[in-house]
Amino acid sequence: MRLQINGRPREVEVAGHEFLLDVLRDGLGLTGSKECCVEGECGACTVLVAGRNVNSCLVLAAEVEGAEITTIEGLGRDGLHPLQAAFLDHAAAQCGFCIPGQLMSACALLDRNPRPTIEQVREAMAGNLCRCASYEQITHAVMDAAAGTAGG
Amino acid sequence: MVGIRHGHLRPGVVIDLKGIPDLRPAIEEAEGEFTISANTVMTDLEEDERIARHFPALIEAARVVGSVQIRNRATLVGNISNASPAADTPPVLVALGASVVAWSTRGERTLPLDQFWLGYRQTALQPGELLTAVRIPLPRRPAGSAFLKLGRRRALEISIVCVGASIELAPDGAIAAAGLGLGSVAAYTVRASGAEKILVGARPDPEVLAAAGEAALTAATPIDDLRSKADYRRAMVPVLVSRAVAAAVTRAKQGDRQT
Ligand SMILES: Cc1cc2nc3c(=O)[nH]c(=O)nc-3n(C[C@H](O)[C@H](O)[C@H](O)COP(=O)(O)OP(=O)(O)OC[C@H]3O[C@@H](n4cnc5c(N)ncnc54)[C@H](O)[C@@H]3O)c2cc1C
Ligand code: FES
Ligand code: FES
Repeated sequence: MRLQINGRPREVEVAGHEFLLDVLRDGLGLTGSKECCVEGECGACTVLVAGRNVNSCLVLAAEVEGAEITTIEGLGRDGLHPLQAAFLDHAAAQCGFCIPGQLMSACALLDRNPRPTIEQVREAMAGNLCRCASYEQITHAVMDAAAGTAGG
Repeated sequence: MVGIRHGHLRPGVVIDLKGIPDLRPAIEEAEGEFTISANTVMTDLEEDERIARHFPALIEAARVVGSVQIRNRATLVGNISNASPAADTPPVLVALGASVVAWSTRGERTLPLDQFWLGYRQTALQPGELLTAVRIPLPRRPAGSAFLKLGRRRALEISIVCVGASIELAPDGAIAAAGLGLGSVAAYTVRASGAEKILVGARPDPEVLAAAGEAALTAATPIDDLRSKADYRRAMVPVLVSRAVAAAVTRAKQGDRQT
């Protein structure tokens, strides 16, 4: 099967019951997307499919054949993405486990709504849990990235 | 999907309906009704201005389903077919008088949504049948709808009780039509017909709304579970029903002024 990942076509052997997360991590070595609850609660496995953020632990690989998939590895291929710079500025990553998922959800939000309110950021990121409770830093990093004031 | 992931569901075959072109996401208005195709996800509804204008309660319900990630994959039809008594959009769809289109190689049939669920996690679908669309009739009079959900937190929450209400107003201000759906209070989403009967023909005064709230309890057979006690659910039904009806009435009046 052919998956379009981070702008590149990738050929992979996939069984019908295999989830996108497992194909990314085990089949393609893209281990930036994390495996955690595997039931849609935590968002650690978040990737973009056709620009929308989804939990890759609940999407079958076969469902997204032909769709453009973006993983954390595809973010900031030409230097740091403004969101990544803002997360660094705010020291948003504590243990860092949730951060790839947080960045992908933030990215999907800003693509649709470049200047969100803080409430909209909280709402949009509600599906990304952070065990280290870095929520304030993450929220403010997203606000800064939206305002274009990150990385200065 | 969660069931497959954990291995307690082991289907022989999984059919990916999202790959069928005829079912692709589509929200269409024709001949006095909206047709929402099987692959339309919650996010598609949230982004549709016509749905927001005609059926605000459906947006309110779609918006609280899981997280953005869930709403980007969760279809409206899946929320119905999953047949969970706690699902958020079904009470609204029942209130709006929605029906579902079931298709098989033997043909197509349409059935009112309140006849679709037969028991806990049980639907009227025959082997070989699948749902291709949801239909919602457009109200013919000034109308308003509202959805209220009681949970313990705001995000990713399964409801303790949820209520969908839809109201149409007559020119004299009396209630001309009423729809009420209740979630999390029975084995499946139920219609509160007793409460609807009290509302129709009456003026939306506080006493009438309170009486409708009490009457809604006849449709409720709640149980104790880890989210709530049955007694608490029973106590909350009248409150939520009267508030949801009041909100729907307010919207019906506002809509009337705009047009
Ligand atoms: C973390 C998490 C949080 C959630 N939170 C909420 C919530 O707050 N509120 C809420 O209401 N729901 C919630 N859900 C439930 C879920 O998102 C919905 O039920 C969803 O709408 C299902 O749609 P789907 O397209 O994913 O269907 P699937 O999961 O693919 O299917 C669900 C069921 O319906 C059947 N089915 C699907 N499509 C059809 C069809 N066209 N014809 C016949 N049968 C069909 C399937 O066979 C299956 O039995 C949550 C789920 C998760 C994982
Ligand atoms: S691992 Fe997918 S949502 Fe938690
Ligand atoms: S930084 Fe540790 S889980 Fe979020």
